Amino acid sequence: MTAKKRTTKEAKKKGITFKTALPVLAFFYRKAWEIQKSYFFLILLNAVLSGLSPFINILFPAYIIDELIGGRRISVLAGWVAALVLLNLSAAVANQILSYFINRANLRMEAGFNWLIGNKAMTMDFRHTESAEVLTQLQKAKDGMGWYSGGVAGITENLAGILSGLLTLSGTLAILGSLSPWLILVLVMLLLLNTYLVSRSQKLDTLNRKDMIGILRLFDYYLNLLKDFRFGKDIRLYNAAGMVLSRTDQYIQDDWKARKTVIRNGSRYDAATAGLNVVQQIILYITLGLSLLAGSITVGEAMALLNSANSFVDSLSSIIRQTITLVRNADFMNECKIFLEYPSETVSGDGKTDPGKPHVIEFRDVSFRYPEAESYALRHVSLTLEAGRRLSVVGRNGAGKTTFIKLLTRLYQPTEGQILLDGRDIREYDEEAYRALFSVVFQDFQLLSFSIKENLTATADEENLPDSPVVDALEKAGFGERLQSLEKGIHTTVYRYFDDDGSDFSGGESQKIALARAIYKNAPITILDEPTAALDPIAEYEIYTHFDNLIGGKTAIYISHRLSSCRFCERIAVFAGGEVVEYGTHDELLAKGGEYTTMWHAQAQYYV
Amino acid sequence: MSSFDKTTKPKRKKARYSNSSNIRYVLAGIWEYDRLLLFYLFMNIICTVGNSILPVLMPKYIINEAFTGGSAGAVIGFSVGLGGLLLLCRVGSSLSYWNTSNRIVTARLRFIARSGAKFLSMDYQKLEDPQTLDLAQRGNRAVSNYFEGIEGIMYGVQSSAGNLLTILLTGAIVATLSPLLILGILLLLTVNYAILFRISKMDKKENDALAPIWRKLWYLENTVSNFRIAKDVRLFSLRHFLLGQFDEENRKRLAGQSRIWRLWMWASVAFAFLSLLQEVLLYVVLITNVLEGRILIGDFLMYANGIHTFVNAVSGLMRNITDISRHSKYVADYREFLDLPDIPDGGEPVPDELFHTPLSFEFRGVSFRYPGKEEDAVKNVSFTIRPGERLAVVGLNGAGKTTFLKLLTRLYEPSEGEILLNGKNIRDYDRKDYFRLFSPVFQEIQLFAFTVAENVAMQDHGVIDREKVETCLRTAGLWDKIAALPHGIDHSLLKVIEDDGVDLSGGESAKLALARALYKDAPCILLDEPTAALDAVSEERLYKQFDGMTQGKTALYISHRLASTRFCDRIAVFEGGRIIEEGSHSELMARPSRYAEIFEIQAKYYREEAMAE
Repeated sequence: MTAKKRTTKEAKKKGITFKTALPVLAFFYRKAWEIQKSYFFLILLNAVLSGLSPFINILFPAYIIDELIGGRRISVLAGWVAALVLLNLSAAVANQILSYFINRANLRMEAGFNWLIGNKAMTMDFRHTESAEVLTQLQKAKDGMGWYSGGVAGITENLAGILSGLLTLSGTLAILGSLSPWLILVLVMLLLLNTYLVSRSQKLDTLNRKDMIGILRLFDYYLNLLKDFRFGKDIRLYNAAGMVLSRTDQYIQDDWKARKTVIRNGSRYDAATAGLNVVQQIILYITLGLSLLAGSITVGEAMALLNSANSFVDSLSSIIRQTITLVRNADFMNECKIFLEYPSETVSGDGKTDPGKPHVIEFRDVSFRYPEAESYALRHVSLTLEAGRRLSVVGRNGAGKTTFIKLLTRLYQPTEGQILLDGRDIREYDEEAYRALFSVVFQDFQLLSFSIKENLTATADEENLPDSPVVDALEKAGFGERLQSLEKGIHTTVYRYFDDDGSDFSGGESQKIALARAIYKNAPITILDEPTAALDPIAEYEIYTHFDNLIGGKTAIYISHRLSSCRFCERIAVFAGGEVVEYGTHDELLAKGGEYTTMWHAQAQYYV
Repeated sequence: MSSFDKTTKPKRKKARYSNSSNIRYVLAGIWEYDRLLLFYLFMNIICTVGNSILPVLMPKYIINEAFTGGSAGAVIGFSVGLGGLLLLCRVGSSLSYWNTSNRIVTARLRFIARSGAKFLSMDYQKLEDPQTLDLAQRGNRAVSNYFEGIEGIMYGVQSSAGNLLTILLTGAIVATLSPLLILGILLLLTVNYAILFRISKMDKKENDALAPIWRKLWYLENTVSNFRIAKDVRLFSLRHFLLGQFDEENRKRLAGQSRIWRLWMWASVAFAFLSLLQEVLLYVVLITNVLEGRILIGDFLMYANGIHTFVNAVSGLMRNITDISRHSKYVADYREFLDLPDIPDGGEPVPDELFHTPLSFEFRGVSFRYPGKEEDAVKNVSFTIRPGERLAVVGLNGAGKTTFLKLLTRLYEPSEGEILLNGKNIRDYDRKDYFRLFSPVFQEIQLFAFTVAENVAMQDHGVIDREKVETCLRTAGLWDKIAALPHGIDHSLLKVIEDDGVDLSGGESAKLALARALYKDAPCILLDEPTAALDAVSEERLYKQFDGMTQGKTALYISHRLASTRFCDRIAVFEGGRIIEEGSHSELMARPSRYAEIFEIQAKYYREEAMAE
């Protein structure tokens, strides 16, 4: 924990400056330009409008007052009042219309960047998706585009704020300059002092807030634990409520400790700032009062002066604040840029494959080490998978079975050696074309919360596909009976994330849908990674007996802890410590008396 | 399932808490958690009022003084005097702002902890009920966000008090000039609110129509960027489908959201016209008064500012009221959630000797039905678990095995019938005390982001018997792994809290759960399918450990793999919520039974002669 804190602190110290923020802004606005070009025009127009509109209320009330004191002509007064209210009205209406279009554009931006993040997550090298670092980066990218910075809309607001602030500033500067130039000097000095205080307090604030975010994350974790009924059983039966609750209590106290510092620093700096502001008001009033007494300005001018002095200070401090925020937001958004720019190391050719033909796959002395890992997960694996053969891959937990599948499906690339498809290195084929050859049911398969049909057909590009092959695949996977009991049949939504009429299927049922998805894909090579783990003996038996039917004459690879399944396979490869230690038929391996025999007897002894 | 879904959406009950009751509830909570917060809230109200009134008064005195040719001393005196007062208010509001804004969050966290504790104290059966989760989720809105729910009420009360005070003060000032002006402005504000009210209604309708799109988008956003789906996405090329759906929903969202924005755009244009009328009215009244010599130019400024402060305070107060009633709805849900029944306290303590003698349980005509279901999950089961026996419970998915176990442990209470422990109805015992009799290992093993020792002992680290933790880990076969960790048994599990927290594999998790059961050392051991994720060799080892740890205890073992039953003295076969057979393995195999049938199916492939195929 302490080590971690230190490194983040060091990273913070380097910090991001306006200069380093520029490439980030350039990156995002290039993308924004692609999403909607009129965005920039809208923003510019709105900034000009909001930069100039304060002058309506600075100038016209002053004219009215001077006329009241001076000429007192009704028609002139009416003219000024009319000008004042009509200009205010037009400014408000114009602002509303512009905001409407800007809101729409901002929504497009938000969707556009979510799209980019999602697309990147789905197309990046698979190895990234298993890296804790990239996962953290993904979260940072989402947070960085979300409420931390407000995304493109957020930085645009900062930029527009700076622009309109500059406009107001130059206008008020002109008014002040003509009426009371030395006042500018006083105001700027007060403002500099103010800015110094604000930046100091913000620095302290960010530090404390970082701590608090960490504490609240933990607090959240414990709370979710309490709500989760899967934990509920253990917590109740093991009487662990005290342990969990004392932890939440402790985090509230830790958070409060951090907050006390925040309160102390915050109120101290805030009070100092407020003090400066009041001093400024007092100076202004005294100046105006004395100038009025001396008759050097009119009351109207005094009012204009008062209002422009306040506007001047407001706009200048807003420019400073917006610039600081802009730089900070760019820092947050940089996390998204980093994520979107993760490099790809995948080598992919453009070779075509023919899913209709039988294929031979050969592992030639393949070794593999996970990125960052010290030891090899696979060592010198050589084996050939003939077309139409069925291979059973067995081994203890962690023997390398799943890694083998990941290499075969090109989720990872071999560290050494090569994998050949019909005699050609698989890297020479187009990635998507190559993967089209496989129907896989992973152990931790994921279904989508769409209809059952969409889950099966999502893999296809076309729309409006017929229902019958879908039903057929589901029946083959042993889901037929359950399907009949569903009111909406294959149009039933899987899970209830957003559809209240969705159906929460059990682990076994979900597994059958995943199996049906693989059957529907109808690829020449089928891979089943522990497809029966969640099934009861009868369902398991059904899958076994329908196995031939399921895969037909296709090539199949079967991973299972239940060795009885080996009986369906022509070849068995036994993995141990990343190596293929035994390879052959069931009878051959049993006769050998090696690893396979040990595992076989561990299970079979109870049944004979 | 679908018929069940409908029953989970009953009409909203009317018996909800009123706004004033919710305000009292929140204030009572502050009184309990942080009395100083009440003081700071009060201070904030006073200072905020000062902050809005003083700038109204300042120009009047100073400019009138200067305009009527007063003294420079008086000008400076007014400026410094009123400025000093303003300074006091500003400093006061800084102090109270920082205190209230942080103390309110801490108070909210305490309210969160209050509902969190509820999850632990409530009846387990309620916890699994989708309706409870629904209510919890709705209630959670009262505490999950800044400025919402409970915070919303605190801020609402503070802000409305300030606004009310400001209205009274500025109203009094302006009324001295022209009560008609106040009347006219109030009229305009009424029109303003009539429009606002209508638009809000339309807005709510449009928003409700958007809600399903929001939920779907939320799901899609989380799905497209979810790494757990990375393999499926790549091998089933799901990308086009998912992004296509994403675009589609975003289009719908933009269309719906634009309708809402257009609504507000036209409303705002209407408001701009109303404010034009207000300004015209204001200037006409003020100019006439100046021209007729009734007020000075400084008064002109004061009244102009005063009116604007007044208008802002009135619209602020209106907003406060609608806000409070919105937040109050969340708080009502929150309170309804807290009102759910707890695990009933009371009953006799479980006598000490039960922890040392073999236990016997008798089910007498026990039935159980899940809420909203039409069929019993356990039907009229009468069955005795003999003292110190090891019982295997087998059956297909959904046969009622796990429900049986939950009834035994009193996570559920029977809908009918009774369960006796050594002859005494288990309902007579205090439930929390009764829980102490069991050491369960469930199918989905739940690890906590605590240290290894805490995960084993399930207690705060202060009271853990560290040697016992080690012994249990050794017995469970996980010691080597734990001893190799940098902090040993003090190493954290999972990466939630510590970056170097350790993730355990499926097999290792099962072992840790076993160690947990061993540490508790309860007289009755329950294993609910803990071997599903294990390889053949680990599975066998687990069977043997089970054999060892259950010596002299009553034990239940639920499993799909019938091989495990070999370690048990007796087998109960569940089907359709009933126990259809019971007996030892050899007894059941000796006669034509469902058990023998299932056993044969599994055994077939392990037998050499069956290879004829």
